[in-house]
Amino acid sequence: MRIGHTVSDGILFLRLQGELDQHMAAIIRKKMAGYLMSQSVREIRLDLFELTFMDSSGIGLLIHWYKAVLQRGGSVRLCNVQPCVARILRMSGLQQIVEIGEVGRVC
Amino acid sequence: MLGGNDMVLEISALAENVAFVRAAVGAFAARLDPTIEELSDIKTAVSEAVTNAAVHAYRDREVGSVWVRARVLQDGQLVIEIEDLGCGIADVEQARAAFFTTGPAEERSGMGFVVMESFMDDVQVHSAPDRGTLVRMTRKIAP
Repeated sequence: MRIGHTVSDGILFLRLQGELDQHMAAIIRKKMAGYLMSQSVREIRLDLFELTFMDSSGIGLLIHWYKAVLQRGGSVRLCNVQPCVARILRMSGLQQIVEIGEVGRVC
Repeated sequence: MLGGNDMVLEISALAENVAFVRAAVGAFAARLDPTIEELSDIKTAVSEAVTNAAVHAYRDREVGSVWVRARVLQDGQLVIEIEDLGCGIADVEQARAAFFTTGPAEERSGMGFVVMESFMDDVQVHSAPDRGTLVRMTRKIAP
């Protein structure tokens, strides 16, 4: 799992590569905790083009981030979501709180 | 279980081993010529069951093993068993409910069993306090 990130104008851009499971979610959560606590970040945009697997640990991570930015009136957006990742996102009902853009829809 | 077309894997119940287990089961299942979607469903369900063992089973004791068994039945059904000898689940029905988790709320979604049930044809859970947990899942792969 690799993660690339940039922050600009209160938007945290993340690019996830590889497989997002419990082990990787814990590493990313820790790595990004500083940005999430910073009041200046209001929106999180994730490019998942190179994310090939996600289980419910990823759902837990996205809900955690959503709650964090929601307190500041912010939002979470996903783009370039591969079909296998889209399946678990839809199954969990996450599309009701997080905007999900499929492959080709850039952030 | 060995005797037909089976695999057995024993590995430490740690989160960093889950990727290996789902890759191994995925490679075993590949002989049934599943679609990309079927393979993804199986790997996700296995990931949920093994993650449960890694996160919950040995949280109050020394980390033990998780056993993963997979079998291909004559009719093309894939049977997967994930077993640990950890703390067990007192109320299985409660544990299977959506959003129920005994883990830290900010880390766990409580969706593990819901995902297994959604992505597999059948999921059975056998567990008792201090007796470990056995999850048996089956999925029919269309020929």
